[in-house]
Amino acid sequence: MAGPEEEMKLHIWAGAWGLPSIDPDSLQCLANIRFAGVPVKIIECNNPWKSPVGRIPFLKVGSQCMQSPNDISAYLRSRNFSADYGLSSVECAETLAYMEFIWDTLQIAYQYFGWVHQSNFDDVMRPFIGKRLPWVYKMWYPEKIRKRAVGVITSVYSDAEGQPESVERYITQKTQSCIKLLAEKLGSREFFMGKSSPTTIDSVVFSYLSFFWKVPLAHNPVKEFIKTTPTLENYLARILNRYFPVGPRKIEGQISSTRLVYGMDGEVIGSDDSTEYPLSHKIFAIVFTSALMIWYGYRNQIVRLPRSEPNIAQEDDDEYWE
Amino acid sequence: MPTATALMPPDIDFDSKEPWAADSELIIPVESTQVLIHESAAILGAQAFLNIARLPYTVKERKNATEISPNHKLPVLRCGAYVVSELEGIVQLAQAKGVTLSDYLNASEKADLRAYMSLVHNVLGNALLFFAWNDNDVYENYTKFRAGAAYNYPLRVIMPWHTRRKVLTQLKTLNWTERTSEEVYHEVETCLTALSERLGELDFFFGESPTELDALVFGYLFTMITTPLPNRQLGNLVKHSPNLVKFCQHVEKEYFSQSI
Repeated sequence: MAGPEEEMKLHIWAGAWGLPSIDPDSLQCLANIRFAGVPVKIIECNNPWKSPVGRIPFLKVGSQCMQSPNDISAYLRSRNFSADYGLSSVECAETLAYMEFIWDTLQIAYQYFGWVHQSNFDDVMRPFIGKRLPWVYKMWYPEKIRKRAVGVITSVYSDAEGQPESVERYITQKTQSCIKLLAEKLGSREFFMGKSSPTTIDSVVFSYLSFFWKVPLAHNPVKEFIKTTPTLENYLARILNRYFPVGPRKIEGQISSTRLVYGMDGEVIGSDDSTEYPLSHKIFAIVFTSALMIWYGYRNQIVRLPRSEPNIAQEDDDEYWE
Repeated sequence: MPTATALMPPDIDFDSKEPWAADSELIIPVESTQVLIHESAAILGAQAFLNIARLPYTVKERKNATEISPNHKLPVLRCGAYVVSELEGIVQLAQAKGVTLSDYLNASEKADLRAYMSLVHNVLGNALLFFAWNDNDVYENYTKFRAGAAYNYPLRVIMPWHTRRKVLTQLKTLNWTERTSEEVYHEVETCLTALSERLGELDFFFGESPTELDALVFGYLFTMITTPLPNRQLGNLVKHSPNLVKFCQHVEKEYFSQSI
């Protein structure tokens, strides 16, 4: 068991399009941490190699490593950090029930529209994640995530591969009714469990809905449903503005990461240290490659250095005059 | 003949002009030799729904009930021209025919109903699948024989093996195979505590009259209490919540005494 003085580090997938992370699991952990006010260092990590279990997000405390949002929030609860302390036992039961409900509807929709749907995968998700993954991983990791998503869909709808149209229709319909029910459950309150601060259930709903709300998928019927439900759209905007303020300024407070800076739409503004290299690196690279090319050309006699030419000319001249 | 699969959005495909057919059949596998614990829970849940809604039906035992089902899930209900499966399909069909148990709920309660149904279905349903197929003891002594009972010699061995592989792949994608039995018991316990909290001292989950959630919960809990599995811990977990046991007894007395 790690001592309480050790720093907690949460590793999450990259964010874009106004979201601190586009992966709902990462977003859920992040939201939970912000809601409960946990002092955690956030690290944008797009390298599954760094995770002991090969999956992101994960929370590292000393030698301990927690993975999956549920395990992470269970660990934080054991350290007395939880957003749910104000809830009654019935509300806790309700939280549990709604988490399964979201799993059945929005999670399935996320797997389908994010990863299984061909054009969304090819045009948005694969390029996004592929650009950020390290070299070897980008060859196969997106396919791996997609395969897992297909597995989830087929485990719920056994003949999913046989009739893709009706599966899509079914998922869309279920999501629509889910969004309607959620909007009615929320009513005019600020958060789902009615208090002045958000709880775990808000982190789950927010993480999945904001994925559809912000990520510009080519085929995204769920966004239309959110747009036609102003209650939910305001709710998402409220959480995003209050807990994940946007802009080039750094996020203050307990989350001390300098990397978690992102633009309103499109690209990450501040966390681009993966693509922005220092000048000395660039100069070194240029010098090194040109030296290598010249050496290669010289060795293979593609390039000749003009050292012996004057001598030859002189000899010719001598012969001529003799 | 229009056969609606469970995948079709029902409110588009069901023709609601015809009333509920009086000669509807609930098709189940042979109960004494074939039915597995998770199937029995689903069947009991569907029967509870039909009894509560006072819809007429007869139970038919068929060896190939799984093959009759449009999505290979049980139980199967044939009503007039339609064949639907599972409690969800049956509830939607009944709704299309104008019979519903949850009309008196307000919008927020309807959301709660869906949420608790997901909870029961995901946690208890997967836990029963886990114990029936992933637990070696139960599989060798119970599941293997019952899953093969409908077939003759070579298939008697092949089919349980094949189904086991399929179920384990499914549990694996949902991260259930990584768990130990203790973790699954803990999961079930959490779910039962949640249900017990929600039920409180009420007769039914939403007060005076039962809904489809009550039917679903009854199906699972009653099966967990009564099925003699090698490990009886599941039944004991239910017995830790006296109000859930009382609920089961109440539903059984009220809706199962005259019809079965």
